[in-house]
Amino acid sequence: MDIEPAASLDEAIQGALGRKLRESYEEIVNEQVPEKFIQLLNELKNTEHGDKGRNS
Amino acid sequence: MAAPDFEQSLVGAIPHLRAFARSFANDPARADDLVQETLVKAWNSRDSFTPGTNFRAWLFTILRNVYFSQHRKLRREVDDPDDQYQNSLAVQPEQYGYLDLADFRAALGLLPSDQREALVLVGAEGFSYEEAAEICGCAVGTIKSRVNRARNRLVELLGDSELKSGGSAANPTAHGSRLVKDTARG
Repeated sequence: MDIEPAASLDEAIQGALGRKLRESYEEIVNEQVPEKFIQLLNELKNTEHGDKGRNS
Repeated sequence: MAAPDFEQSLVGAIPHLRAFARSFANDPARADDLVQETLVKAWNSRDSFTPGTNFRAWLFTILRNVYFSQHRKLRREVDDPDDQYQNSLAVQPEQYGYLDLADFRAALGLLPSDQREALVLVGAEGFSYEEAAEICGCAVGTIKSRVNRARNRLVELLGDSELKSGGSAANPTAHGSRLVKDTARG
């Protein structure tokens, strides 16, 4: 009857699995973003403005 | 997208890029390197983003491309990059406060990387199967079957009664050793 293996996983287990997965993932998402990323974006922006300045 | 909007969207997506990157590189420093390179690529190709489409999906596609182009280079230097992922997992669990989440992560780390990726995209990020398929450049059916196999394998590794009872706080040591035994048996 159950051709797909997942069909045999009951909903309670699937739900529990999903919650664990999200909990694990959210913990990383909620970490504070290191400053280096914002610095990198600022550098990218400034480089671009610099280039435009030189070109005009 | 106008540059300030683009920048703002990019900043907002960084936490998700960092989390997604960890499904490729378990070592946080390596994962963050991957994110940095993704941000540079995204910034430089921002004209190719189609407004109105899913921005995060666009970024995730770039991150994957960055990863797989590095991965091909890496393959010449190390025998098996997946082994590296698992070796780095071996030193991870103590960093986390509660063992059952660490156990879950260890089990996730044992999955083939394509299954882990599909599960994270659909189950954690909440992408539709169609969106996940687009990000991974494969058929929708392939994503579905990867997600199914990932779920089944996790249940095998973690034990359905543990999952149902919502964790293993009562006896973390026994839980940890059972995971190891199950892995050896599997």
